[in-house]
Amino acid sequence: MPTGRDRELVHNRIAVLRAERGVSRRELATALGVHYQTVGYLERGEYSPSLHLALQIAEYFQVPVEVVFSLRPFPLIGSTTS
Amino acid sequence: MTTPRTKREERMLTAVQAEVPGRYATRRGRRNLVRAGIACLALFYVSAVVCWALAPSDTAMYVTFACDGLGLLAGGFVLGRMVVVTRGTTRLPDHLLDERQAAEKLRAHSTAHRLTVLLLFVALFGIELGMRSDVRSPSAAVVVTFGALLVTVASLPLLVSTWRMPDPVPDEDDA
Repeated sequence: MPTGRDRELVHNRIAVLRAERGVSRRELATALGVHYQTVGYLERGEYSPSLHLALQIAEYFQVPVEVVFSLRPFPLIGSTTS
Repeated sequence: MTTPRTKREERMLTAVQAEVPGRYATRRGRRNLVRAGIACLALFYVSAVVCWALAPSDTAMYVTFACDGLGLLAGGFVLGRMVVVTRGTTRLPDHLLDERQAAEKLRAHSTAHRLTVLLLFVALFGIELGMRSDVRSPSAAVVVTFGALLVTVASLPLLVSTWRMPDPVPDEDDA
């Protein structure tokens, strides 16, 4: 069972999706209506978004929300474990 | 987070979007800025203590004008830097903040509120200790103490927000 800060930590793949789609932090922030530093804090895992913002991000990238956010760390690209 | 509704809000938003100097990109730099802010606030308390001890007198008047004047000028500059460093989190209207900034504003205000209660008790005990039954309390001292408390209460959320702020994300990381 996760303890301490891990209990509230939400892992995300925003940076990967952003790089893959060639979207800048400022462009994403403008589309979401947040400050670009908020996108940076989200990517660094220093801020966990509200459900509304999480759904907005998933909608922006046109993927299900669980593709962007997870309570467990995402497997590394090329890793065989899921 | 919506667009500015008035010219004033537009000006405020432009001001807080200004480039943050590199020395405040680190926690140490920001905390030094907070320490400078606390030093400016301390000047107001120095003048209050001098007033309680010496007022009414010319010395008390000159010290009060010097300390409060310096505190206002230096404090104004330091707090202005803090507003830019925190991107106006505690100063902008709620509709110009996103959910993270709004949450940070609430957190800063709640911490500042707790500190204010503590400060009021410290001020009460300080005044009680300083009051002597044989001497009438100078009204100037009461006014100067009130001014010091007022300035502290007004700036505490900004000090708390600057102290707590995480390192900003560098611009050059943008794709």
